[in-house]
Amino acid sequence: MLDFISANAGAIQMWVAVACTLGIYSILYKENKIYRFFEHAFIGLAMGWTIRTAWVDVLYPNFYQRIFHEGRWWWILALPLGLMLYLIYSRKYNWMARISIGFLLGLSAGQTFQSFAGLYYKQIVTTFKPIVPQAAEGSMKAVTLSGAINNLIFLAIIICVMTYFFFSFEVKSKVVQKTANTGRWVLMIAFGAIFGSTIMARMALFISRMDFLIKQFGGTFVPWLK
Amino acid sequence: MLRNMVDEIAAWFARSFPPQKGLTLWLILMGLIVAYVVIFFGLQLLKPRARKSLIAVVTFLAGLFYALEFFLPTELIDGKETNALTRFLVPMSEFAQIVAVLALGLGIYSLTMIHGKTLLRFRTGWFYSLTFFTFMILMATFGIMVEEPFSREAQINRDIRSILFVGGLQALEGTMFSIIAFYIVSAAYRAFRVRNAEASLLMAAAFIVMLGQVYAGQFLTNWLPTEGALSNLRIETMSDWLLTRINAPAVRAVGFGLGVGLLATALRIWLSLERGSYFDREV
Amino acid sequence: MEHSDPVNSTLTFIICAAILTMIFRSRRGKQPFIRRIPGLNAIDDAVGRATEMGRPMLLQPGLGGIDVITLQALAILAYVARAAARFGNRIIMPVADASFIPVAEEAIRESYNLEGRVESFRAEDIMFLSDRQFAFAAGVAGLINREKVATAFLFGLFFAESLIMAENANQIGAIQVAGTPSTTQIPFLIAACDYVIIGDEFYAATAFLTREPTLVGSLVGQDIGKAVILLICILGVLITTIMGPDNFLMNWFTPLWWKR
Repeated sequence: MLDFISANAGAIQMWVAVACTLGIYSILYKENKIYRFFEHAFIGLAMGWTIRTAWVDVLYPNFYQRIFHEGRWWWILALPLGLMLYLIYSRKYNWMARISIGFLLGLSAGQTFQSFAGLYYKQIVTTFKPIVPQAAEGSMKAVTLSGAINNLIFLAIIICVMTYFFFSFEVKSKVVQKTANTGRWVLMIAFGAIFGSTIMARMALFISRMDFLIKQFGGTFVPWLK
Repeated sequence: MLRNMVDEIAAWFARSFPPQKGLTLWLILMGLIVAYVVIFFGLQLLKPRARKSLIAVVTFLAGLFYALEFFLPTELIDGKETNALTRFLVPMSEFAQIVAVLALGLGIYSLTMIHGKTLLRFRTGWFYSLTFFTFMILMATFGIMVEEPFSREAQINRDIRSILFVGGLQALEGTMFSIIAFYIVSAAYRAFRVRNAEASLLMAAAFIVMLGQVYAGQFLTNWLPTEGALSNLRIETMSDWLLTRINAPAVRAVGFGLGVGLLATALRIWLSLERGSYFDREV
Repeated sequence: MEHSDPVNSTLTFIICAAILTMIFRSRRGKQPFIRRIPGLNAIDDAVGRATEMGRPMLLQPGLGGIDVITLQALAILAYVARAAARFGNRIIMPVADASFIPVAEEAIRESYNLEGRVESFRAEDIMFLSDRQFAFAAGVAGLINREKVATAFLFGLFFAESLIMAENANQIGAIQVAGTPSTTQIPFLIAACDYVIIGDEFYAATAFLTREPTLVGSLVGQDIGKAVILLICILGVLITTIMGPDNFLMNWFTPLWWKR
């Protein structure tokens, strides 16, 4: 049996992939028994691969090998922190899981300072653009009238959108209210742009799947499909 | 100065706690396990207030490492910006990764409890639970199995792994990703039907940008000149303008808010000031 | 940006100081104003609908693990769980990170506890599905259809899979309330969900829902932080317009690693 599988591995792999593809697409009609089978197979395969990755890429090289092959015993200190998470199921000791959770949360919180800088810092300086036409100077190119108008729009959008996101100021001024409302409208246009630019990328994925079904799989039976 | 201090501590650690082999290694590991058991029961003696303080201290110290590493001044050494703590970044992330990966058992336990109960009691859907277990065990076994490079068994193992991974997992992932194409169309269709000004504006912008990215869309305004004021009405120009002049600043402004929000939440968590059900629970 | 520089450190310090100051001020009893966040008012209606229909609610904290964003998502979902506990609704919470299970369990159990319904809490309803994005999405899509959820709350870190979940819930007629800091997913959530909170409304949500002084104070501090950033942007544009590109503000804010 194993020899048969090995000898026909390529063909079996293709048939399996076709079955998986059609099985998952069947949810587009409605949730059904075939989808349910492939969904559970999918979660099983994914879990199996996660177990493999956890051992092969993390636990074996970074934990087991370091301690038992290289003798770097201090890495064992990760073990109590990891195992303490399991105490969540104990009524008496479940508070200790919070020590490990606190450790992981602390790391995540500490990394946030870097993420914050990534989200705003470079963006601030690239907002500094002249809003009246200017001749070329130093490293900056000349700013034409249309360029200046665009820069003004750029700044206006930042002001409108940020005004919309102020939560703790009671807005009584009509100007501020209008600015915030404009911010919301602009956001919708911006989200539309994201939507529009993603559609084609998603279509490309679908086309590549169809390419597999028709050209690669269908082509093995009907040569002109290739 | 700080760099020297940290280097000296690291050197002292390396001298005092060298790698061990054989019996010494096992004795040390046993000693650590005994010490941990003692600490474990010692911790249980803590009063609730002290427990909360301990958790707060651990959270703060873990965060302090990354905060200091980011904020401490750096020097350019071998083309890389480094400070006293930079060399510990990789070990720290590996350490955290081990802790997180050790929690995988919680996931396996969760799945096993749900599917195990269904399977053992032959509840409705037991066949799907059996499917789950079968494929998990197959994938984990053939994934982890160590093989001799050129044996017949190795070839069989590789072939089965390839069937499961490429034929199974990768095909399933690719299909699930591509199914979004259908959902994006149905979502767009619904948004178009909604007589709501915001949704209409969103879809109008989406339509222009989408047309600007395909040849058929660009073909619609091909008759317009490529230069001069009228060129701004060409679909690809409008699409580009929407992306770079409307979308970019709006996303940037949203990003500023998100950055500050993230910082505030992180700060509250780091300093144990956070409120809410998880943080308010007595320990 | 791998390391901070003096300008970034100063600005981060100012914003952190504003947030902490406002937190402590608010804790001392001065309750500041916060504006309405429309999407969040829908939470109670959505819970009410699930109660009327007698069907479960899906609480979805996204793909994150033990991190700041997912903790914030959990705080919002814990509020929803509290309402669910009050009305006796069943909740289903699939998670994508095994290490997140203990945190989710603790938070949701406490929500039930606060309503005096801890006996109704079912630990198995907080379930791990997969840490692989699309396997997780396939599992959630299946769950949504099989359990015929009445409402779905999608709060957390989402990527492309967000639309798979939202559309499946939409197709079975579930009411959906969503919010994510992943800006690229918001358009799809707007198209597929009934109520969406956008941008940093995600971080303001808990303050709005609970009116907890610490969170409200923090929100005021966040507003000050954003105002500082906005002011720098406006000043920067004006100074660059008047003085040209080689001005002091531009030089300050050009990251050190850029200059090197």
